[in-house]
Amino acid sequence: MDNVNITTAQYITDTGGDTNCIQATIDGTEMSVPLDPANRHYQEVLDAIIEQGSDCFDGDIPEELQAAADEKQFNQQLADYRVAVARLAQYVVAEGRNQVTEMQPTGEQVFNEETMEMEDVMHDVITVTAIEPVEPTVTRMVYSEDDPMAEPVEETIENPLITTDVAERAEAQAVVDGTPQEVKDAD
Amino acid sequence: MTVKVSKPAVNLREELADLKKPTGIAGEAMLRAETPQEQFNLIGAGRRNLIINGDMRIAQRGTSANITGYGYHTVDRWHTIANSGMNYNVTMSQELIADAPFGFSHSLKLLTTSAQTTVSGENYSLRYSIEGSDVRHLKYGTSNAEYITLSFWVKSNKAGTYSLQPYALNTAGNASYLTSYTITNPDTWEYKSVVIEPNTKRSINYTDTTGFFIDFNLDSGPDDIVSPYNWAVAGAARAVEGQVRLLDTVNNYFEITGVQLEVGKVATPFEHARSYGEELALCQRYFQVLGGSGTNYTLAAGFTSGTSFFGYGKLIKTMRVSPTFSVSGTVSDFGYTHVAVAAAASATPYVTTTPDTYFMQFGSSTSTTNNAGAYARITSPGTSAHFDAEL
Repeated sequence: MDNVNITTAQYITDTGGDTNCIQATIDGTEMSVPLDPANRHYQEVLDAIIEQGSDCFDGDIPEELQAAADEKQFNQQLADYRVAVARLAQYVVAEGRNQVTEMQPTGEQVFNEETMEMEDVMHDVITVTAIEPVEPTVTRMVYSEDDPMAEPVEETIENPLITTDVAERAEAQAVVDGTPQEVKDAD
Repeated sequence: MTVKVSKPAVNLREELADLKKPTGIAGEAMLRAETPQEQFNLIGAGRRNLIINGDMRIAQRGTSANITGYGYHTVDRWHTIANSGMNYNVTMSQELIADAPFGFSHSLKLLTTSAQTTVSGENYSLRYSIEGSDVRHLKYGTSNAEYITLSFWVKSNKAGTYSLQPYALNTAGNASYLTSYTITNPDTWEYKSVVIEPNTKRSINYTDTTGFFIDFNLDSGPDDIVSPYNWAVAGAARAVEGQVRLLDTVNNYFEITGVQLEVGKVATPFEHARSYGEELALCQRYFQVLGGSGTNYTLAAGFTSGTSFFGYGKLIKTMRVSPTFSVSGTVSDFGYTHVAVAAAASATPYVTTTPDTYFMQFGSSTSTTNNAGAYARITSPGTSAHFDAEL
């Protein structure tokens, strides 16, 4: 997230008593922020409420502003959860993927003399193609930084594709584990 | 009777050659075009550049600022990014330059003023954001999605690889494209063009909020170095292997101008067609300055109440959304006057805005007549009112 520092936000009412803007100090500058969800400073105020709670506000956070912040946080968590679930649904590159076939109608029909009805002609269709697992390790030549004339040494390491896949899956799993149940239920 | 008719010999090969029209490749393409729309696209007719202030002429906020992170600081529409809690010390400026590429007078320059090592997932980028409603014609998320081409002039003391990341925003999941370009010679203006493949995977939020942006990555921590990708569901602020680190030494700089983003696979010459006034008006949809000139800049008409002023004013033109108000300069340069009484503001005004109007209230230490007609003004050219509706 971008670094924006918000302090001493407060609601401002006009002469008629209506609340019309938030007066906030953002990155050291005092600003009048409109209550417009498409205004970027309004969104930054909501982010500050999500992250800092009432610390960024003079007095209690007004109910409608807290509700807007809660809704934003919920939607962010839901979006992150969906991305994480989609990432986990991808195949594990170290294991590869099995082919999946399915019986589907060809579009032709034949007459079944026993049932006296027309029936679809079926055939096997590959719905998921097989992918071979990647090699678990790769070798690389390592050159000495101290002695440029020395012969390079062969080194065997984990396949970087597997390393990246494992790291991304772990990150996605952490997002899923950290998502509140009510957010998961909304998916 | 037999009649003999003689004709001159015909060289069939030569006759066929004559049928060829005296046209170049582009002319042939034009002749083969089947619709006027296709011809329109071929010659790049109409307004092509999706970037406002691509030639960096407009800088309403000022021409130079020492910055430490995210925000709009000088040149209109261009903003800097600082991710993962990072801060940096950089001077962002609008430059009036003698060695500018032909046809350009200004550039945007980022100069490193304090060296640091970017770590983890930190990123330092220059970003340009576009409203979703302005890129509907890219037809993203459909099989008819368009190629787009980004072209620009760039100069840096550090030759090498620089990452470029277009990003499409969608509430159902964002998508980004990661590529790079190379600066070959240090301290030399170079022209670059990058073709970006169609994004058939994800649509864009076609609203007045950000739908599309492009990041010019200038430094990136090791966690965000990845392989280039073609419209993947991936995070913003990534960089490719070999990304130049612009923050590693004091006085490193990155300078850019003539930025053009257009539909198609070909970079056409920069669209110089917009006048200064047109370009300024386009920028004012996102940011406006009132004041900054003279010692009696009238800001709002209204009335007094005790020590306070309440008044209304109209913005120069309709903005994208209700803007944020702030004071640039000295708060006490704001004031109000009625009959013979002039009062200076004692605190930052509270301002309620709509996309084209504002209602202002502020107090002073001077007691005045209640309900007297009055006007608010700015009394110093060094102070101004800023209205910000940037993306």
